[in-house]
This record gives sequence, structure tokens and C-alpha cells, in this order.
Amino acid sequence: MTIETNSVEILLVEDNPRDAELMIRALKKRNLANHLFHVSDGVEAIDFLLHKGKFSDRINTISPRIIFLDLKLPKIDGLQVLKEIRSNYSTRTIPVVIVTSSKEDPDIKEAYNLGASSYVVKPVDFESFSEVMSNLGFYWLLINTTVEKSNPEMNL
Amino acid sequence: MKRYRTILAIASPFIACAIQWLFWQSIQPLVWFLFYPAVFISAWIGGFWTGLVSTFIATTLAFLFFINPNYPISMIHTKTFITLSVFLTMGTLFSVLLGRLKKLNEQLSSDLRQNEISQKEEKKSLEIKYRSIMESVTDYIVVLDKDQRIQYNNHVAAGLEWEDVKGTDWLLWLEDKDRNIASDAFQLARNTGKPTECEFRAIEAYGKMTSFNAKFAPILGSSEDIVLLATNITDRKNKEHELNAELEQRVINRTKQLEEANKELEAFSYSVSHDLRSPLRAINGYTNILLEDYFPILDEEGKRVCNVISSEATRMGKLIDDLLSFSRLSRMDMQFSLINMKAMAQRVFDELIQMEKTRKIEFNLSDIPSIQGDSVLIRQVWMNLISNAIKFTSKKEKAIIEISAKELDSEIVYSVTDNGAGFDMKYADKLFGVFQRLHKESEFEGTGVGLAIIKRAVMRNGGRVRAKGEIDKGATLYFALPKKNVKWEI
Repeated sequence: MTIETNSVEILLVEDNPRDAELMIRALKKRNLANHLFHVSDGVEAIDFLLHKGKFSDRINTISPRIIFLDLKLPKIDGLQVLKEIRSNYSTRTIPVVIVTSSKEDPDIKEAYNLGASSYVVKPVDFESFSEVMSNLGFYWLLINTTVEKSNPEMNL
Repeated sequence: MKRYRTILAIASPFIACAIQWLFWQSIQPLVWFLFYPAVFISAWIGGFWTGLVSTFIATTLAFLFFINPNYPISMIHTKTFITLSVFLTMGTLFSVLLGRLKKLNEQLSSDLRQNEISQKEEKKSLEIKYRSIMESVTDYIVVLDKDQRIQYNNHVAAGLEWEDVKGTDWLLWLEDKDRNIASDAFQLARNTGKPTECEFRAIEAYGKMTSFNAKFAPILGSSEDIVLLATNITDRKNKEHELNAELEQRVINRTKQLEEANKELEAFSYSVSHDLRSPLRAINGYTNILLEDYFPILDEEGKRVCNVISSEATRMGKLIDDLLSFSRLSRMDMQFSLINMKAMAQRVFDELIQMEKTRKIEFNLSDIPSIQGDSVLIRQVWMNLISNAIKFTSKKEKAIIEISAKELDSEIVYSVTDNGAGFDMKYADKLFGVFQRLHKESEFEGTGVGLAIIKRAVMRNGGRVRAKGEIDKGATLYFALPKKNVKWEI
């Protein structure tokens, strides 16, 4: 998947390649996946957002309009990533939708406590899953308005 | 004293004679008039012999002063002779009877005295016996008066003398903080006349504080004094402490184990929830991709197989979901409150009926009483029961669902009756098991967890469940909840 990393609209953080593929497929059907970037663990997600590690040479540009975040991730888990996003000035206002298999109460509570914008449980059934994903993409990219904010470093 | 009595006894005929002589003018001609009482008194005071002597003296005096003494016996007037004979007989009789009486009296009083002496001795020896028994008892036996002062102690603690303790306020020997309890127990025993009990710490040998168990009891027959029996329970207390500490440690260990087990279980269900579902989603998703992207080149059978794979994966997803919610139910924290059961059942029904708008359902909800319980769990119970009733009546033209309740002594039994498919009572015991189904999936969908969830939720609320049914005639599901709810952990 080679898209320009500086024009990312959707950041998908998902370690399971199958789930990722199905999600992207669902979004593609509604033509919403053109500016999607997929990372498969928590460290990568943070690096991407904060221009660190292998993304340190990413050209500073506007932040993604939406982050789809799985909870169960290798290295740093989703809640930790969320915490990091919310504690960082440059990423604080990006909407983060938790898209996960976990229906566990404590997770849901914790996610909202940490400032998740939404919490969605992936349905097992493919049709519902596709529908959920395309609805999500449609809502967050086309209906929702985000803080129109360039990366702070641009303003310096 | 005895001599005076004899003198008085002998003197009494003379006194009688003197008085009679003085008043002879009025007494005449009753010669023996005052001599009768004189002889009686003599015999009363002096006994048999004195009585006889007195009779003799009285006769002589009568002859000397009131009958001419110079008459020879043959000359005595017949009347005089008769009165003399009567007097002598009566005098003798008085002497005999009163003498006898006196003797008996003397014997009796001497017997009494003897008795008294022996009783006194017995009492003394008994007292010594009891005292030594009391003193040999290791417990403290203390007699307290109404002002809580020490009247008696069977023994005093080493390092103290009886004089140190005697008459003191016994509460002074107790630890400060225990004085109120001890005083209360004392007063209660005094006021009610019934034995009471309490525990306190008091000074024992050489001023050491020691734990005692004390019993207070009023002394029988004495309304004022209270006897206090204090047993040294230091050893018992120490053992109790040890035991308690051991128990506590055990509880801590067990709790830790339980917590660990619970944590493991949570981790387990977490990973089940996460890891088991995603491969299913992949199976389902990729089968659908196959169907979508390769539709033209798949023949009918190929499409059917794809559909089967997809629907089975979906079903397994549902099974996992139900199993998870079942296990979540057991781990959930409970909060008890008063639940308006009627309102809750109505709300649940209204919610469920939204999805069944095309069906004809008669819903009869009686005035069922409110009850204490965890509202989340009980709502789940109503949810599953009513949705079951709606589901199993789906083949009937007109469904009838009835909810009622019956109040018993300690519990309330709620019931949900439907006119649906019912079940064979043969399998009633299987009904509430996890993944137990009595109908084919093609007839009525479901995973078979619903009733298991009901059972678990009701049991966690301290209640129980039961079902009654007949094939094609409907079923009634009962759940009973205790009126006084105690938290019931399964």
C-alpha cells in the first residue's frame, strides 16, 4: 500500500491483516480508502503520528481526520496508544474510534475515560461488518467536522 | 431461780390460807375455796412432789384455821369428809398430771437444746467444708453488695491480702475501658434477677492484667448481694487469637487465589472474546469476498457451500457472544435495590415487541409485587423470559403471554406463561443447562444459553427457577426471589 504519508485522512491501527483487509475493502467500496494508511502495531501508530522512528522524515502536514484503533495490539496496546494521542498537543483533537472485538465492559469504560470519540465492536457477520465500516468512514470523513488544524510545527 | 420457784410453790398454800382468813366473812363456808388454786399453782411450778406436799400443807392449814382441828376423825361431819376427799383427790391429780407435764416439758426443752447444739456444730463443719471447696476453686468467686463492694473473695490474687480487697469497689480492679460493660452486667443481674455474663480484663497476680470471663448471679434468698464467678481465660484468648490469625491468613490466601482465578478467567474470556472472533470474521469475510468477486465463475453448489460456511461462522460468533455474556453475568458486581417488577416487565415487553410488529400478541400483566434485587440481572431475567415466550409462540396464530406472581412466606414466585411450543417435561432438568436446546435450530433459532442465563441471574439474587410445560400447549417458567435478599455468591 503506497500512499502519500502526508495526505493521510484515515489512520488504521490494526494488527490482524485479515481484519485490516476486510475493513479496507469495505471502505473502498464507498470510495473512502484513498487516503488510508495502515499500521499494524501501537509503536508504529505513535511513531507515525508524532513523526518518530521510521516516520521521522514524514513531511509535516495535516493530521489524519480519523484514527481507527484496535485495542489488542502488539508492543503497545490500543488504550496506551489512545492515552498517548490524547496527551500530545498535536494529536489531542484527532477523533479516535475504537474498532475492536472486545465487548468487555472495563475496556469500554477505560476507552471513553481516555477520550475515545466512539467505540465500535466488529461484528462477526461480514455484511454487518462491511456496513459498520462503511458507515464509520462515511460519517467521520464526510459528515463529521474536525478541528481544521495544521500541524503546529508548520506554524513555527 | 429454781429455789425461788420451790419456795413460791411451798408458800402458795400459806398465802392462800392468809387471804382466805382475811376474807373469811365473804368466803364462808367454802373451806377449800382458795386452796384449790394454791395446790394447782404449786404443782404447776414444782411438779409432782411439790404438789403433794402442798396438798398436805393445805389440808393441815384448812383443819387448823377453818375446821375445828380438835375433832377426832370419827367426829368429822360427813359433808366435810366429802369435800376433804375431793380436795385430796384433786390435789393428787393436779400433782400427777402437772408433774408429768413438767417432766415432758423439761425433756422437750433439753432435746431442743441438744438439737440446737448439734445443728450449730453441723453448720460449722459444713461452712468449713464449703469454704475449703470455694477456696480450692481456681476461679474467683466474689460476693458483691448492692454498691458493688467486695464482701467476700474465695481467694485473692498473689501479691495481695484479703484486707487490701475487702470492702473495695470491685470495678477498681478492672481495666478502665471494661468498667462500663462489667457494671452494666452487674446491674442487669441485679435488676432482672437473672444471671448475666461478660468479659473483662482485671488485675491478677502481681498486678498483671488478665482476661476474665465473668458470670453474675443474684444470691438466692438475698435480694441485695450478687455473686460473681470470674474465670481466667487468658489461655483461651491467646488460642483464639492464634486461631483467628490463622483463619485470617487462610482467608487472605484463599481470597488471593480466588482473585487470581478470577483474573485468569477474565483474561481468558477477554482473549476468547478477542481472538476467537477475529478468525471467524475472517472466514465469514473471505467467503463473502469469494461470493462477491467470483460470483460469475462459481456454480450453484459453490455458492451454496460459501453461504453455509458464512452462516456457520456467524452462528459460532453468536455462540461465543452468548457464552461470554453468560460468564460476564457470573462475575458482575451486584447492587441491590427495590425493583418495580411490573414496570420493568412492561418496559421489557414494549421493547421486545418493537421487533415483532406484525404479530398478534396478547400480553396479560397482573399486579406483580416489587422486590429487592440487582436490577441489571433481574432485567436480564425478564428480557430472556419474555423474548423466549415471544419466540416460542411464533408459530401460533395468536400468542398469549401471561405474567403473574404469587407471594409466599419468604419469597415471591413470578411466572411467565405462554401458549407456545412448550416442551416435554421429560427434559425439564436439561432446560436450564448451558447450550441445552429442546427444539431444532430450524424451528426456533437460538444458542441455548438464554435459560442458563436466567438461572444464573436468579441464583445470584438468592432465588431459584422452575419450568412446567407440555408439547404444543405452552410453557410456564417460574422464578422465585427471596423477600429479604441476601447477597448470594455462586
